[in-house]
Amino acid sequence: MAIDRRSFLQLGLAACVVGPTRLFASGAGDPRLLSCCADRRGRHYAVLVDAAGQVIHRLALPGRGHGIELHPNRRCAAIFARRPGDFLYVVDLETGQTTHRLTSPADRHYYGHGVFDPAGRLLYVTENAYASGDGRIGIYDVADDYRRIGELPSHGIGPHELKLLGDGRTLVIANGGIRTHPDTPRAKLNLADMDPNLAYVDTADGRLLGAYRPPAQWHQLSIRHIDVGIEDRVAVAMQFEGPREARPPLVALHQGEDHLRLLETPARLLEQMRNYCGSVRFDRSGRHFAVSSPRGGWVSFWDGASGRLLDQLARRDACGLAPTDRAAGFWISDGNGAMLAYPTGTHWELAGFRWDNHLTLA
Amino acid sequence: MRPVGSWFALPLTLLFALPAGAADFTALNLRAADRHIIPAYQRLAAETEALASTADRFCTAPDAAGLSTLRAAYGAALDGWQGIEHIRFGPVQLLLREHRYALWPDKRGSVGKHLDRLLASRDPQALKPEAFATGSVAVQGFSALERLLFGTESTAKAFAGDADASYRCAVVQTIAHNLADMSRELASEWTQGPEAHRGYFATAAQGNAYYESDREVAGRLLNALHTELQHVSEHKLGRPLGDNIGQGRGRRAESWRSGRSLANIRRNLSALQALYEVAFAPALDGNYPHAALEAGFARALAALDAIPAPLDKAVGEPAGRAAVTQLQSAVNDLQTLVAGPLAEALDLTLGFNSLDGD
Repeated sequence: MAIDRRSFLQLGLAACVVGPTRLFASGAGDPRLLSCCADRRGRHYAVLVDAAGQVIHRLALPGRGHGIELHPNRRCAAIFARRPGDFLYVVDLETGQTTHRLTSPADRHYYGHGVFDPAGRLLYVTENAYASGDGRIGIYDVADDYRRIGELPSHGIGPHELKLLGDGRTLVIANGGIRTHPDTPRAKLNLADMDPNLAYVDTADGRLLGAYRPPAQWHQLSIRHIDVGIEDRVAVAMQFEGPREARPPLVALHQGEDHLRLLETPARLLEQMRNYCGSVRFDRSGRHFAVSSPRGGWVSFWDGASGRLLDQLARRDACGLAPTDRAAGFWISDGNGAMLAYPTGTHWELAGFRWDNHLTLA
Repeated sequence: MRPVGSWFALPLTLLFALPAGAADFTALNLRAADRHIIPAYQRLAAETEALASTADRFCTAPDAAGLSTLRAAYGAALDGWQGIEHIRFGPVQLLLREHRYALWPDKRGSVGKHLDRLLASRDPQALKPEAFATGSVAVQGFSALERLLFGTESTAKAFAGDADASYRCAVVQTIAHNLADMSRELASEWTQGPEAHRGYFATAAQGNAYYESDREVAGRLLNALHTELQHVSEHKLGRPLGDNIGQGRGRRAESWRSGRSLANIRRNLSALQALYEVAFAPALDGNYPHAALEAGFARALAALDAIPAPLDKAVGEPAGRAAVTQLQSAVNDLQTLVAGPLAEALDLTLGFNSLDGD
């Protein structure tokens, strides 16, 4: 049966407002990667590429994007503006069409990340109520064209990345602790009295189930990026806003303990991390995770159970991480436009483009 | 897509080996500091000091001649800022200074809102230097001062007569002194004492409290070039241009009230050209893309001179739009040259993730 363009587009539109039923056969052996990027003139895009580096779709964005979250139906993805941006796009990965263009409410800006619930009905997005500085989690109804239907407190300042635990109900939120305001876009307004935390929040009622802070002497450790592995194990990658010569640990694990488990890190690696981690991702097994440190140009690989360092790799301006189809394997993207698969060494470059902070497997 | 060679076969140390003839980044950075950044901050300090004393004189007896002198002093001081606004790292990052100098683009209308609130308060406490410097950034700099000096009701009479008028003049003086204070501090923080920022440039190769390496500093300077070109293209030209003539909005131009939109861009481009010439050009030693960059700056400045009207007017008529679009495309070409060939020739990256991550 022939499908005309109009009904094809409608199909695409519908694809981004329904639940997790797989609408098309997405072969497991056919990985694709999604990331925001910029060209040499600083124009911003979201790009879908195949594993060999062929561009499938390229979408122009109104500003710099940040995180991209795949809908459970694997056909659509939500693209979030970078802090303190105000756009949220939903794109159909089959057609490359943008199905929804949202703008943050007038008194809010986006922080750059979001997560779908496992049923694909709701989208949770980190937001800043910037008049008060309170972190919020906006709730968007997928079936109702991503209408914002409510919000939850993030129980901290500056929520950045967030994930859902295996129950599909508990949010784990990286409250970075840094206050920002759109009038002073990139300025950090409260470095002296930062109070970051890793918060677990019940999506049913917004209740705080637990909040975990770095030790008091490291209160300037901004908890920014997290990922969830098997058995709700949370890996945490942090950025230190205190004195440059201090060397706090930057990687932590949490899995039900009464404190964050800061991981022992060899002094030389800590030097290379330059007090800044940009991204953290578990592999497909959920047992190993990788942490990127773009300032030092370094990527480290860790065992999620023991918290032991497994391997490390020098890679200039590398930041984006996504699991490959093998255990302990990761795609690594960098600001020079290159993509590298660890540990196989497969690599290619998208000439003239610079990959932005995060990478999503599609 | 092109293959970049096999990496895993190489020991890590080799990945850090410098290419033969790598640029001397410390020398490059110090040329930028000594011949560009520090002189620009010193000029800004002098121009804002003159602005502050002109404002003080004006407010003792506001009249039309005094207002016109004050407006000229405003223009000279703004020129000073436009000549160094591309340096967005170092001491200017501290205490929100970068944002206190100017708040533009002002998408939420914060400058007008906060200024109206301040004027209505007539609160003398709010104008004490320390309270003012730590209050709303929106009222502290050139953006707010422009509204006071070049708004539709900005005649000499608006600054004399009653309590409202004299408070208005006091706000003008406070902003001018705030700009002078910040600029004096900046010039001094770059040059004076053991914490002088120039010193951090000089010792960056060994790593110091501010910089990890001299390569990082050179990367930041390259980034400053690139980001300012983008700011000019995307904001200063792109916002007033809009997508088409129907969407052209002259009042989205920077400094449209004072008619200085194009003067600002001229200062920006000249300053970037100067930064390139003193710091980067010697490292290229005449090699590619030196000639292309020189021609690119010349073309952009010529395109600027060819715009027939003030920017806010030009974007509203076809010939003007064509000329503005020409300038935008010349700036875009420069940006591409900086991000690609210049970065590659010096073995620098723009530091997309390392310099401005999240």
